[in-house]
Amino acid sequence: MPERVTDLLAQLEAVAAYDGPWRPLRDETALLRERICELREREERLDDLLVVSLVGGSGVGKSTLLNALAGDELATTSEYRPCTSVPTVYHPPGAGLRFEGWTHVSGSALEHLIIIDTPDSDTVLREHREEVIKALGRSDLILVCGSPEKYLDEATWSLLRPLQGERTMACVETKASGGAVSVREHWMTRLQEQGFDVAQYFRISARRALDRKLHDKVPGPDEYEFEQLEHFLREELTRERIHRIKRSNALGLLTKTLKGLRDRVVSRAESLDTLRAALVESEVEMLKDTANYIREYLFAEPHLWNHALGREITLRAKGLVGSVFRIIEGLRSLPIRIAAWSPWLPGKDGPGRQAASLMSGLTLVDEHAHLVSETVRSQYLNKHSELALRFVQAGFDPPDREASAAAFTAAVNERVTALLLGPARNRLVSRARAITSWPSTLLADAAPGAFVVFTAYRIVRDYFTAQTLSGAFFVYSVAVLGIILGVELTFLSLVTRLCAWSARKRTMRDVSLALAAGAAAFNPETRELDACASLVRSVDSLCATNLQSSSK
Amino acid sequence: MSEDLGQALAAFDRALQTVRTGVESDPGLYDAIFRDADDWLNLLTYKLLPHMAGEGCLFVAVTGGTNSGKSTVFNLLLASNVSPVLATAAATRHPLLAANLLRCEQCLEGKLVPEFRAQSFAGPEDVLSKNTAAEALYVARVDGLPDRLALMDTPDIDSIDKQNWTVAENIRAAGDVLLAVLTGEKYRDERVVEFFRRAIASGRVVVPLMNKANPEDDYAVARRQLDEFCGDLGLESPRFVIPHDFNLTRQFSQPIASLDGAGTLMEYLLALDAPAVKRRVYRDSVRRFAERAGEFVLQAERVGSALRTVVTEFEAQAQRASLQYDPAPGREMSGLFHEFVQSKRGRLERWVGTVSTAALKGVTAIAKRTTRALLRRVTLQKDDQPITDAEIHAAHIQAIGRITRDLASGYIESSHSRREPVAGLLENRIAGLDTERIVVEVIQDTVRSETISEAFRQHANNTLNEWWNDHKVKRNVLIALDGLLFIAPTAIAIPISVHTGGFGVAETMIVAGTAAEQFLARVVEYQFGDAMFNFLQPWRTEQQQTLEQSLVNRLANPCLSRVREHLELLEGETLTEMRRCLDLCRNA
Ligand SMILES: Nc1nc2c(ncn2[C@@H]2O[C@H](COP(=O)(O)OP(=O)(O)OP(=O)(O)O)[C@@H](O)[C@H]2O)c(=O)[nH]1
Ligand SMILES: Nc1nc2c(ncn2[C@@H]2O[C@H](COP(=O)(O)OP(=O)(O)OP(=O)(O)O)[C@@H](O)[C@H]2O)c(=O)[nH]1
Ligand SMILES: [Mg+2]
Ligand SMILES: [Mg+2]
Repeated sequence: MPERVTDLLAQLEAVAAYDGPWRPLRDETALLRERICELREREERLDDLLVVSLVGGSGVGKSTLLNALAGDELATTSEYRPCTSVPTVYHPPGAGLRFEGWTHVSGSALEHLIIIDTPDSDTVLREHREEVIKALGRSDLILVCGSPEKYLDEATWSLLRPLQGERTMACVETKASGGAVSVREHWMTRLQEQGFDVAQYFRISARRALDRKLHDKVPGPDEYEFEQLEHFLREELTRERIHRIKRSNALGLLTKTLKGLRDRVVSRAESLDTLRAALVESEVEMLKDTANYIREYLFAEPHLWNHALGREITLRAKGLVGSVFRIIEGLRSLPIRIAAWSPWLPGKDGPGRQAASLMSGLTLVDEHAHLVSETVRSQYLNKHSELALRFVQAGFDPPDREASAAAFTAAVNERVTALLLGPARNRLVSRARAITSWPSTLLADAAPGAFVVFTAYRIVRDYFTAQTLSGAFFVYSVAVLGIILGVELTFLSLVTRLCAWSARKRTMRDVSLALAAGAAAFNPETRELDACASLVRSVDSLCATNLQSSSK
Repeated sequence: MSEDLGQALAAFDRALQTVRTGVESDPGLYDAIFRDADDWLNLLTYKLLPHMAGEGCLFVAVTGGTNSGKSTVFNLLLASNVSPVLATAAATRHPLLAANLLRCEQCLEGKLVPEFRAQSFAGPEDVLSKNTAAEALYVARVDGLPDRLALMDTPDIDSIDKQNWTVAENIRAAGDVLLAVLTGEKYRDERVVEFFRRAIASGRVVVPLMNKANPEDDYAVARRQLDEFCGDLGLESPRFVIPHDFNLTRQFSQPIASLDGAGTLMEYLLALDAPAVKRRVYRDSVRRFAERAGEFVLQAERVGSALRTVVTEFEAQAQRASLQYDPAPGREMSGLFHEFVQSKRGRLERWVGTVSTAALKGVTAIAKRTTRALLRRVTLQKDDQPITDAEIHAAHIQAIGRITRDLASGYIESSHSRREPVAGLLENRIAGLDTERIVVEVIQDTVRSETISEAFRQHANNTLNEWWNDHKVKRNVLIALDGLLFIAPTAIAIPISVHTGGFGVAETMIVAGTAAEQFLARVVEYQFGDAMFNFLQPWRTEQQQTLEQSLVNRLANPCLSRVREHLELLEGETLTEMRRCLDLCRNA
């Protein structure tokens, strides 16, 4: 059991450490910390003496009872109300416990006990009540004193109610006289009605007992159950019993704490669940919207991809056809180059252009490209405002919209940039490599090469056979070569476009995957929600296991 | 008492009932306004309003803590065992009135203590029963009593059964003389002292009596205890004792003695000048009532102003939110001014203008397409598509949605930081809001048409018309400019057509016309920029105001519905009426 309590306290401490934005839980932490502190203190004091306090209205005879137990006039008693104003602490010699500002009297024969006589709980001197509350806080066993006239007073009961379950209580009916026992029955019934659990009841006359002790007489029946009370304090409160009392007090406090948590926190767990579902839904929508944006805006222009792939091919092209392609590509990309040089042309650093330049390895833009535009941001802010309202409705502090938006756009930007610089670019390079590899170069050059060789052969042959070639032949040859080259170049350009198209398609799919995989749109919110949901779950399981076991 | 006073009190009571029924449904608010009001409310209901029919009949109530012996004293005074005496606490639960035949009948007819439900006392069970209504009063006939005295046994004022306190407090208000039954244990209990302090404050005669006293040393202890009690209250009165060895069954008819040699308690009570005491009690009750009720009215006003603050703050919040709405009117608004100037042309001019505009449209379309294609090539940039009406519409809807949701969040937030009673009034209102429906409604209110640019155009045209009528000089400059530019191409075209026989006229018109249009547009933009801005502003302001109104109506008001309801009550005529009545009471 002690380990279990320590374990439990550690778990509760984790809950008490919560400083997040969920108000229902945060509101609990101050009380919880206080309770944990108290429980730890109780844990430490498990082996200390049992603190017994005498509590009740003025004039019921608390001080007289203390005197009777001590057999000496320790505490002043009087006929005038109120009498005691400073608590008297009666303890066995050598007890270490000290209470600031209270009267300490050593010499008690009850070795396991410290008895505190408290001031009244009901007169016009309200400051007395403060002392009583202090004493109640420190005590393990409360002897609730009441005379036949003063056992049902709200003033005393209102002090005891908050301690219900946390302290062991016993009733002492003072000033007993005559045979009437109706008070006992009435008092016990009313206590039970209000949920108090009182195990012991003593009907005594302390004044007689004190008299007897002071005059060394033998105990008589006119002291009523004083003997039993003394016996209870002296004999029945063994070390083991004291342990049990202290533990049951601690357990009572723990149960109360857990019950409070269950009522005020766990009962709201459902709202966290629905919030979680809403969060996931918004997240999915947001990612879909972002992917759509990238598809429709960032990757919308196939010619950018053609251009990027063309550039890669130009860098690597060899052979006859390749060289011609290079020249043509160079001419075709001239406007872009001019635009890159001229600082005044508009639209130079739009997202599309940035994406293209990233892919084609041109350093047209600085390192921090902003691929995600205002459109995505405003979409995000809208989604976020819907979500924020739900968070606030569920009891959260309003989440920081700007920070979340900044984090999200940065994440998307980073991911897309990485994708463009990595897989997308590699895809283009590998396609360019394939197109410009030796076999395909040879294949492309085969037809024009063969034709050139054939034409050269015709020229040489005709030279040796001394025939003169007609002008038409040259025109014809050049035309044929032109046609061959034209056809090949067209084909090459078609292939380039096809490759660019496929690279773009695959990259687009990658973007969707990359976004779905990790760029959680509402990261900070998810984190906070998960943190408090897990705390609530742990509280729930704590309650489930401990409340059940303690009620058994 | 005077007629005026009666009317004023009745009017006050009516106003009070209005307030009470108004706020009853909200416990938090009720508590804030009616905190500590029981004291004077009881005076009003049990003393001032009933106009005690039994002029000259003194009501002597035996009051005190539980088990202090109230019922015992009551029986001793009557010298017979009427009220049940139990050893257990909080036994007597309902007041028991003892009087002679005449007074008993008056009671039962509802003339003497009309605010209680008087029933005749059948047996001890009556006053001990738990299941009787709080306003029940039992009447026992005791023949020895004179007309001018009625005795009442009352429940306690300090046990855990708080309904007993209420009954005792009602009796305190209704009674004239309170017999304070004290004991050695209870004479300085806070609740007891407080109870009698209030009684004295409203003019009741309090007679202290120490029960269960020790007769040793001529009641030395009891004397000092009674002195302390009287000292606490500032009370001067003859004091009485009953010794603790008093045997009720044997010495039933033994009189209750005074400590000051003033005769027995019964003699003292009978010797009181009933009408004088009653007058004094009534006067002091009115004074106390006016004093405390005045504080009540102030308190109600304070609560009212707290509610008013909330309303103002919520409205201010809505206004701030609506200012965030910066409505964009939509596409191609720059040409608007120019179009307007054109619409002011004469008929012939308009006809010629239409033709040249049609020609112009063809040219500009081609030119635009070419430049776009070029730009696209050069900057690798997708064309800027002109924004469609649907997109503008969607943007507005989103902006308004966001503003509304943010405001709702703001309201929830601010309701957390508020204290009772406002917090209670807001809490469940706000929690129950269907925000999504409200968002839709606000959007419907604010974005009234699908084509925002069209709506704006109409609105702006009105503004322009006003401007046009107000600015004569500028207007003429514009007309002249327009005319010049409109005539110039034609002026060039005519000589050309004469010279070339028609060839090149159209081309010249197109080139010159375009240039002229552009030129005019620039002039207008630069010279009349202010005016352009100004004709945007009214529309913008109107939109923002519409939004604010809608936010207040759809969002703030549902949150504030309870607050407003109560404000109407707390700021309305009712409190003024109460204040007027209290002034009358003070003067009467
Ligand atoms: N008859 C009788 N009187 C008692 C008994 N016990 C106490 N008294 C008397 O009750 C009075 C008050 O006793 P205290 O012991 O001073 O009471 P207290 O509860 O300490 O009162 P405060 O200090 O004011 O809170 C004294 O006069 C006692 O003599 C008892 O058993 N029988
Ligand atoms: N010894 C003694 N006992 C008294 C005296 N007066 C009352 N009692 C006892 O005190 C107890 C309560 O008396 P009640 O008269 O019922 O007291 P109460 O104030 O009416 O009590 P509730 O109606 O229960 O609030 C009874 O047991 C009485 O016998 C007295 O002067 N001397
Ligand atoms: Mg004492
Ligand atoms: Mg009674």
